[in-house]
Amino acid sequence: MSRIFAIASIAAILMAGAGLFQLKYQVAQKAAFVKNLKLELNRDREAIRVLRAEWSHLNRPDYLQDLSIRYLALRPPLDSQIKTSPAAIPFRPEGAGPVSAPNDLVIPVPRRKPESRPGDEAVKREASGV
Amino acid sequence: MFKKVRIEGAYKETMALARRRLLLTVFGFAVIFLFLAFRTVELSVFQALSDTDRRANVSNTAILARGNVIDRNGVLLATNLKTRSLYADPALVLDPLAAAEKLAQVLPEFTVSELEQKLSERRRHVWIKRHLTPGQARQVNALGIHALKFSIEDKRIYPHGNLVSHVLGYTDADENGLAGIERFFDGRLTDPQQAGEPLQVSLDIRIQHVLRDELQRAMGVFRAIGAAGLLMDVNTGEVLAMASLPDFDPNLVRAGDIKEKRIMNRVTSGVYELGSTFKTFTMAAGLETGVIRMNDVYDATDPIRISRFTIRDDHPQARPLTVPEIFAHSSNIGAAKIAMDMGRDVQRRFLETLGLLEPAVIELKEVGEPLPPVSWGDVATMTVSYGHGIAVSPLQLSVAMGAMVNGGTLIPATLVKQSEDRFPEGKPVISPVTSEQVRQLMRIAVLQGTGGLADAPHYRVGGKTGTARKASKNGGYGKQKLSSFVGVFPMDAPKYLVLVLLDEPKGTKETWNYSSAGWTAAPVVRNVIMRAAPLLGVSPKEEDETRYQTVAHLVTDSR
Repeated sequence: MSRIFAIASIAAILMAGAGLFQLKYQVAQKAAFVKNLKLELNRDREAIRVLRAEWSHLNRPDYLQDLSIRYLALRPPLDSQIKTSPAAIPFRPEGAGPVSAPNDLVIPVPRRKPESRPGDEAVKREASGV
Repeated sequence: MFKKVRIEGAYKETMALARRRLLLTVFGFAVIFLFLAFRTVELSVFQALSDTDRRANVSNTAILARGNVIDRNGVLLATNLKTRSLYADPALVLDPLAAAEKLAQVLPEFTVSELEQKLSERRRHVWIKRHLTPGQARQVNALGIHALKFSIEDKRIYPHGNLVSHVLGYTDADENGLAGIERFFDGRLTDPQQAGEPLQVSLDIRIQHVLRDELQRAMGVFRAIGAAGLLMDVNTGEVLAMASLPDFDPNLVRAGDIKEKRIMNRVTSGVYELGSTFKTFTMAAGLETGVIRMNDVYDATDPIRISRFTIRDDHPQARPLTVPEIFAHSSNIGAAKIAMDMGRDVQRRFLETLGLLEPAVIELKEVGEPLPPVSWGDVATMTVSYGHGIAVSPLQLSVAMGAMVNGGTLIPATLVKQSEDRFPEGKPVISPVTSEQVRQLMRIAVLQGTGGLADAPHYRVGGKTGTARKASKNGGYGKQKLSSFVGVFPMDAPKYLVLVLLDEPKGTKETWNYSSAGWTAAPVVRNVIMRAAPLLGVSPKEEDETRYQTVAHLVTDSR
């Protein structure tokens, strides 16, 4: 009787020990995983913050205005271009030909990416400023 | 199992006692181990389950040292980024001179001897440079000097640079807010509870740019030494743009050589004698108290001589003028006479209710103290009526002007975005009827008076010019001027106020060498409105001309 009891308890202790070891091992593994995940999260968060700051920096209104003046044909409206009601704009006459841009306007068209454009140095400088 | 052993005498008794003691000990140990077993199960299973939430949160809190600041549309204005700071452990430096020579090539702002001195100090920790750029950090690393070490620190970054310098302010190297929003909301921005939530200010970065861009251009054209501007919502008090030139880059303030003049916010901390814009208050007080009516006539033929002063008109009409004419042609003589009819006490009480005699209330610490007349006698009453002898900040003027046009409620200016459904708490200072009359006067001043160049087509601009002589060093007034214009649009239902102030503008060929406000500041207001109105959702509209008829027929155009 006491022998069976002793054997059973030894077996139980061994099993419990093995289980505990297994559990501890798993926990350590998970902990390392979580720690890694947190590190990665923090790194990503930091990267997102850098990108947000850069996005805001590159969207500075004065910088966009500079680019717009350089590359777009848009200009501030003249007094005569301000209408008080949409009714003041005439409909397009029927049978009118295709719309073509006047030749003296600079309209940006899709083109091969040039090796360097006049603004590139400025863009790079701005981008590294953050 | 157990054979019954009978032992007699003292021996038996001793054995029994030992056995009882043994059992007691076994029992004690059993209880302790059982307790430990239960506790283990409880800790590892039940407690762990309830703990998971708490542990997950811990990692999130310590991330942000200082909260972000965003504009009313969510554009990032200030944030924190991790940068590397360089320090050295001199004990590990083998050859200070060689190390200093190498380091000086990477950090050209230091001389070799400076670095050598730092590297041979006795301490174990010497700061060399804080917040290196990533490129510099890489180069320093590449030197391979064992004693140089980095520590990662937060740095405050302002992506928009100069654009919002004065409102945002700046921080020192340890991230204490030293000016502007950074200073006023230092507690809010560093509070761990709120750091994750960005602080949303009332500024609109696009409007801010429009205002600053136009001010900068005007400053160049008229060779002014400074400029200030403000655009605010007259119904909520929200400031959408506030600029003061010359300005500074808050990213570089720590680097050093920024002059005090640039740091000063001319809109809030500068106090100036602002000139004729004050006539608006003289008119409003007169109309409100019933001292004057629109069709009253004052003789402005001759200058007023009082003690050793002579009050003249800058745009002399030299004839009797109606009340709208006094306003539109900006007659000092007329305003002075109205003020005398009204009396000193009415004038002072009125300016006091408008908050012009005490510092403005806004979320900035840089707020200037107004300078009312030292002795408020007859002379002061006259000069104050057209804005001389009293100095206030442009912000105070704007808030008071807002109350004149918005139906008569004084609403304090704010730099924090207000929720749309908030009913702004203000105090009534004039009646809606008087406010309507002031609106008519301001519109007529643009249509037929000194403010003509501020008239942005179809945006129904009303306003008042203010050309003030600057006080010279030897007392009295010099030749240099302070030209300002306060414009409000759309005048049929006022929504926005634009203030532009140019410090010492010089006339150009295009303005026939005039440097008065109508020629210099008014066109800037027009340009700002032309560019800002579409962004603000104010649509151009045909004007209802009957609105101003009663006033317009009182003005004879003889500019």
